[in-house]
Amino acid sequence: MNRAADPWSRLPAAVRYTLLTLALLAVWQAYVSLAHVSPLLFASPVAVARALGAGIASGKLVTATVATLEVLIGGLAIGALLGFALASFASFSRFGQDVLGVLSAIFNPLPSIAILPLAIIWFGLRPQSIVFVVALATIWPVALSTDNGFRTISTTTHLAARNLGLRGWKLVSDVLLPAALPSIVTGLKSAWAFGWRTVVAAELIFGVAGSAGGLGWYINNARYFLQTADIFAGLVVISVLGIAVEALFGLLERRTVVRWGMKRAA
Amino acid sequence: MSVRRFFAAVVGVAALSLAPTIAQRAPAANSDAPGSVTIAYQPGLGYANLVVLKQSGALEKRFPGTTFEWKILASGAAIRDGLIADQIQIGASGCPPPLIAWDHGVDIKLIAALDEANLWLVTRDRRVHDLKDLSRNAKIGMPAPDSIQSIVLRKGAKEQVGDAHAFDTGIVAIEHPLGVAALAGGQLDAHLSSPPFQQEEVDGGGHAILKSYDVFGRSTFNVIYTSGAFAKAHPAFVNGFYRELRAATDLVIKNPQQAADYLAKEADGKVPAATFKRWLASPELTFTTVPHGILKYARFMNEIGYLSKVPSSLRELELPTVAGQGD
Repeated sequence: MNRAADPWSRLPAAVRYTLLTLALLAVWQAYVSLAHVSPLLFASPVAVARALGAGIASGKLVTATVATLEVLIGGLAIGALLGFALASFASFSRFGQDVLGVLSAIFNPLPSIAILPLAIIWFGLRPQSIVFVVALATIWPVALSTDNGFRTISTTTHLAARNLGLRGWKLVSDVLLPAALPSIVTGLKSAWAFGWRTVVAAELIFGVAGSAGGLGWYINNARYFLQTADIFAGLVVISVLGIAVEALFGLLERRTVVRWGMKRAA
Repeated sequence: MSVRRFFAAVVGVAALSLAPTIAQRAPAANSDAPGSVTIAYQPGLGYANLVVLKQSGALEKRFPGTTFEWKILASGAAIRDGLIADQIQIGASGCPPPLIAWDHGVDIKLIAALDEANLWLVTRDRRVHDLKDLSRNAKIGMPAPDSIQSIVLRKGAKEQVGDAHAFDTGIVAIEHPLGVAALAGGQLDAHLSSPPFQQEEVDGGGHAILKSYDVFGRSTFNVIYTSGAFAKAHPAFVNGFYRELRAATDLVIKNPQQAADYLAKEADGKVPAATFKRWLASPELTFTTVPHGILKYARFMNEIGYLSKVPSSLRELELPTVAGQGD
């Protein structure tokens, strides 16, 4: 069957997604109301919406979200900068390549959340500990993807640039960077995904309220008081923010690599 | 010995040896004992009578058909959640986690109290003498945001600075032993734990700026509870458990040397019995199975919004074991 002829496919994307989401919510609500699930174990969409409203009205959910985003953006910025620097260094020299190879071989397989106990000893029970862990989680996807992007640039482009006398940082910024942008964006996307998972996990086990608490603490705190709807509300915020950032990356790609014809639109 | 009795004895011995499974099935009074029971508690001297009960093997002797598994968890909420999920049948913690469960409609029943303790908030900052001197951003360690320690802090905050939640953003959920290290290392500004940790901290140069007896009066520290369903299915077992717990509690009171030996055994020799004996002698921790002051905690938790209602009487949460004995 022709895809375009399928009535579902002919609907605009926004309508398709909205319909699916609504169906999911309906199934969820139906499950909770018909199966008589204990509200201690599972919250209904209505209860979650109410918890979301109350959390936003009291400001607690907003503060927690802001705290998480601050830590995440700080860690991601440091991680991306370092990762980018490592990849650039690797593109200059054999030595840099080896440094990146060894460091990423050692640290990339290490779930950075496992470093948290060490980070707490070094930085104390402060947001810095989580920033450190997030940075460590985000360096490697950025470094490896960027490095891969640099290395898959065609020899023709490379030689042309060299012929024009471009060297060092000039070579990176004017030729390598734009040419490797699709890989860099991919790296940033997976860095964001790693960082996001790490920050929430770190907050969950960190056990510190206030500025270092964030959404992880919010969820855990709700669990202590058996407020299951609030746990769900925290999860909804995490999910919605994830979708929003995905959309942001989509926009970035459309404005750059898709427009430049380096990648096809999804 | 008469011939008849001789024959009865022979038949008895034969029956026992032929049917070991029947012989293992404990006395009739314990016939509702389950095949296995998981009992969970937390680190600290406040569970000393429970640890004595564990190490003495009295439960195994009384219920030979039951296997006992003991778990040490870091927070009362974890124990309560395990109870809700039926992974844990008997749990011990401060009173807030079971009160919160009761408030949310969980059928939870107190078997007994374990002890009464004066809980101290300890700091190493010499300029800090009470909560008014403490920064609103001070990092204050305690097992969990719903622990009995957190309620003590909030009551102190309410009384001394007029806002129960004044220090909420500084709360750090940390296990007692780690909290002691974090206070010594300067990562925590203050630590609210329990005996013997608080005594160690004071011996190491800290001082107490808030004591639970000052805000709540002398009151129960830990309670031990089970689910209503378990209590209903195994009333004789729960009663037998309670009797053994009372015997262990009496032992801690009357024979601290032997109790200290059991505690040293539990600590795997890392802490000598003599140290346990000294700790047990502290007037800040006393052992009794009678609950005391739990309703005071419940009323305050209701006042600051952590409970939507207050039990009209502790009987709502008690099993017949201790019903009507305490408050």
